[in-house]
Amino acid sequence: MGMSSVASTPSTGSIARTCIYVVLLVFCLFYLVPLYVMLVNSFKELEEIRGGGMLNLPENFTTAPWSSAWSTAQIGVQPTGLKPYFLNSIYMVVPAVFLSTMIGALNGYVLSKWTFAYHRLVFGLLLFSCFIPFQIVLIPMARVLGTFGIAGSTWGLVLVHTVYGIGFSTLFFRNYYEAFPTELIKAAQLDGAGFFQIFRRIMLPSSGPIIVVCVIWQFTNIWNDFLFGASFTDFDSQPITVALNNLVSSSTGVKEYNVHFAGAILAALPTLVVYIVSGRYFVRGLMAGSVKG
Amino acid sequence: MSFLKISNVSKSFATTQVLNNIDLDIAEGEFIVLVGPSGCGKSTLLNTIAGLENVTDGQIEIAGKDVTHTVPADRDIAMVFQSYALYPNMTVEKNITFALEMRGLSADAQRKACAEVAETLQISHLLKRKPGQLSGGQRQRVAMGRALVRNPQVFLFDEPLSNLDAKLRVDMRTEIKQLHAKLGTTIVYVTHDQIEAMTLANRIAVMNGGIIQQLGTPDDIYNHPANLFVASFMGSPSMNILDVTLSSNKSGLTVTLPHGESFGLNSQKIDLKSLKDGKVKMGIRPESILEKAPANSKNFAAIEQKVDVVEPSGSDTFVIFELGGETFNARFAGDSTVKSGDKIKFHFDLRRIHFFNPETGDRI
Amino acid sequence: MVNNKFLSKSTWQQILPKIVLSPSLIVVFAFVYGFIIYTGYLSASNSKMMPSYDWIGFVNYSKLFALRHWKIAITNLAVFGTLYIGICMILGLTLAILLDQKIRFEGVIRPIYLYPMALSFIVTGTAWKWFLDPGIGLETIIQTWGFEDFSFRWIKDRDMAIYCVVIAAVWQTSGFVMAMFLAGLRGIDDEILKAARIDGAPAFKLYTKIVIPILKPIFLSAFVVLAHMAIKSYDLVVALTNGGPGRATELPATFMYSYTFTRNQMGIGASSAIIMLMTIAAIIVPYLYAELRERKSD
Ligand SMILES: Nc1ncnc2c1ncn2[C@@H]1O[C@H](COP(=O)(O)OP(=O)(O)OP(=O)(O)O)[C@@H](O)[C@H]1O
Ligand SMILES: [Mg+2]
Repeated sequence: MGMSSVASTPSTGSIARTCIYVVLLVFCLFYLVPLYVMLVNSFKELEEIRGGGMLNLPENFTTAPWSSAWSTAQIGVQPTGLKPYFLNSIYMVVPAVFLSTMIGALNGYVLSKWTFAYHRLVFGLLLFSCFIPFQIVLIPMARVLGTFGIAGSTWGLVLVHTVYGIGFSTLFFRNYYEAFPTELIKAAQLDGAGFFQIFRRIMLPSSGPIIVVCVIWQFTNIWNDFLFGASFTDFDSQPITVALNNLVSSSTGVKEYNVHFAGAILAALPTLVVYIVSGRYFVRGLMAGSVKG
Repeated sequence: MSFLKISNVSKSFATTQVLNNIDLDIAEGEFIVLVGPSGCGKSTLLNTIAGLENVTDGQIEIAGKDVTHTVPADRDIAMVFQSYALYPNMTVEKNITFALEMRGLSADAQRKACAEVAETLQISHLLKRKPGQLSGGQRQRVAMGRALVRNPQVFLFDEPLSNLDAKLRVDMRTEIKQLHAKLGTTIVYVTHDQIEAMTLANRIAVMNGGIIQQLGTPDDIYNHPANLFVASFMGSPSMNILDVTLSSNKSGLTVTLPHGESFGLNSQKIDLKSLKDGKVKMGIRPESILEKAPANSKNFAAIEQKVDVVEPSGSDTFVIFELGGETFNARFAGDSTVKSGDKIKFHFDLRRIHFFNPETGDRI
Repeated sequence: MVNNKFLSKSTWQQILPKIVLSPSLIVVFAFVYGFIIYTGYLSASNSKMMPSYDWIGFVNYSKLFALRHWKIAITNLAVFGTLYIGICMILGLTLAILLDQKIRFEGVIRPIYLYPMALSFIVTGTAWKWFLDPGIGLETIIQTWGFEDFSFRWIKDRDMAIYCVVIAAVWQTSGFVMAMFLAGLRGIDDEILKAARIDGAPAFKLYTKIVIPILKPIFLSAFVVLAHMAIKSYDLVVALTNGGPGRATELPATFMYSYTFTRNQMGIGASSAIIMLMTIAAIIVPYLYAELRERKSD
């Protein structure tokens, strides 16, 4: 983070420092063990897992669980693997992220640079919508989707995620644009640029970082969503989280732990990759999304 | 013949009134400087002229056309901001030509206009850079270029030099003055720097609390301040003010200082009837209090006081003393040998004494 | 605008921002506040499998609070919420303070603590479900290490299963709380700390008397975030225990879902959703209000 820490000098004794390192290391293990367990066991045969030694490296290395999880495992009634659901998630997440980010950018632009009476109240009401327990909207939402004829479809989910994503994306952009010098807007107005021209030519080109933050945030949230996916889809439009849960919790047949683990990693992969590639923006989004800023 | 005419303009934000019935007639080619304490509404006035803020009441005309409800882009006005407000994502060239592009000029015409302006401002070598790669002074020039290129009817400057260091500020001041002489465009210019105001302005408007206190030539404002506010706002160090009593006799007026000392005034005619017991506020600028005065001159009153502090500043020596409970400041020559603790005669130049009504603050 | 002939461009530029904002507003008003009202209405109706609009007043609420199932859910929420928030805060603060001691590999450790936040609760649930499973997980692992008597079957134990949910939830979010505190620690003005050190405050006092009080706003933010996550917790329970064993790990969120969609008691489901909303609102609304006000003053 590049900022100075509270501890000024490593003046504490070496025993104390060793203790600190030990504690930090133990917690590294705590956070890593579940990932490690998923990873190693996804390359084992089922027999090996059943025999104990979950923490051991695979004796007979096999990628069969992965191909099973991806393309043949039984999900619900069909042996399709997670692949179609992974694609469902992509079809859902791409438009929903795009729409909610665009709308949030415009909203943030208006709420910071074209303010009007009660704009703060409007912002507060938008913001509160991020925090409602979504159980409260399940029943009416199901009816509305039914009425529009998009119940059980990916487009229905796109709509739902866009609507409930607007609050956060507006928050990101408003707070970012709030710090953007208003004089630039005035100068552009005098230069003859209108509302949209200012947005496109002046604001957007300077919005790179916040767009990344917002896209990552929305992507992670929408990809990881389970409640809406479980409530508003039927079998062919389920996102991967729902499919994974079906795979893991299906009560019939033997429990294929290795396939479950492979599936879980598949479901986690896109967000993990995003986190690894751009962790800095991910953290910024988390902070901005939680501390209101 | 007014070119930019501001009539009865008022502006309120929610409940706070920021501009109060402003009237300002500005002739074509005039250089008007707005001064006033922070928060008095200078920027707000500029913004209303530009159309960036709507007026709550009143009318604004430019070149005989009512523009009160015209969008900023159509007012043919250019503005230079204190922060320069350069578009961070565009090159210097794009910054300068953006307005032309918005107005639909051809790329060729844009380039030509930009090159011309860049030449004038000596920023031709910077055209391909982004604002982030420029020094403060260069940014200032680009901001000027952006305004110049449009060749507008009116220039608005909101403290354009306040972010520059002292040396650069003086240089740019001269350049702006030369530019104005060359272009002859009407300018409304806000500054906190009194020297800038005095040197640049054809007329100065002194504002306070959303009201124009006085509008006049620099000489007018300085030598004939309309009221106590203008008197003490303009000038540094500011004018010395003291409560005195005026009385009249056959030979003229007598000024009685708080501790009883008095001197006669014969040059000024003042109607005392409007005053309560002749009580007034007397003002005198530090440079009107001299160390030495011509012998026997009727124009000076010598008042003996102890010197409290001496502040040499090179060209001048400021001598601080107490008079009637107020701290007075006198500007003596740089080579003055006065020392603190000395008891000396201060010579008040009676031709340069101002009187103000203590209740209204107006000049008498 | 008095002057009608200027209405075109000037007025257009003024209403354009509102036009741009209004679709979002309409949608949010309909899909959030409208839906809240609708659900509120259903909670006072005798809806069963399908919505019905027969007004029956607060009957559903009294039924709800008489249900053992609901009592379990809110008791669980109290236990889960308290432990989850408490442990996350303590762990987050401790780790942040430790990480702030000029640690050599901070750049490696920090992302390791934080990555679970990028995962879906379903993934977390799956991982911990099998890791805590007595048949193949922790119990077996320790036993194969030679501690034959070792027993760890909380996830199968009605009294202990809720703590498994706490463990998995803490695992997922504590790193994030750590990051919040770490950012807070790094944001403290250096000179305050220098002054305290010159005043001779020992390291421990430095933290208890100066640093932690300065971090108070972060405690508040962390509390709000964690509390609202706790109340909304649904996915993790579904994936980890599916409310079981029995009903041992039911939370209001799972209760609402099962009453509404599988037990066809929509009225009761709706009333439980309203209770959840009011609980969250009680925490969030004052917080948002304070946050938005604060920005006004600066
Ligand atoms: N958008 C606004 N909403 C509410 N009040 C405002 C707004 N803009 C300005 N004001 C208030 O109007 C008053 C005048 O502001 P203005 O910016 O015109 O002052 P100024 O004379 O330019 O001051 P400075 O010399 O500091 O630049 C101030 O009290 C300011 O707080
Ligand atoms: Mg100003």
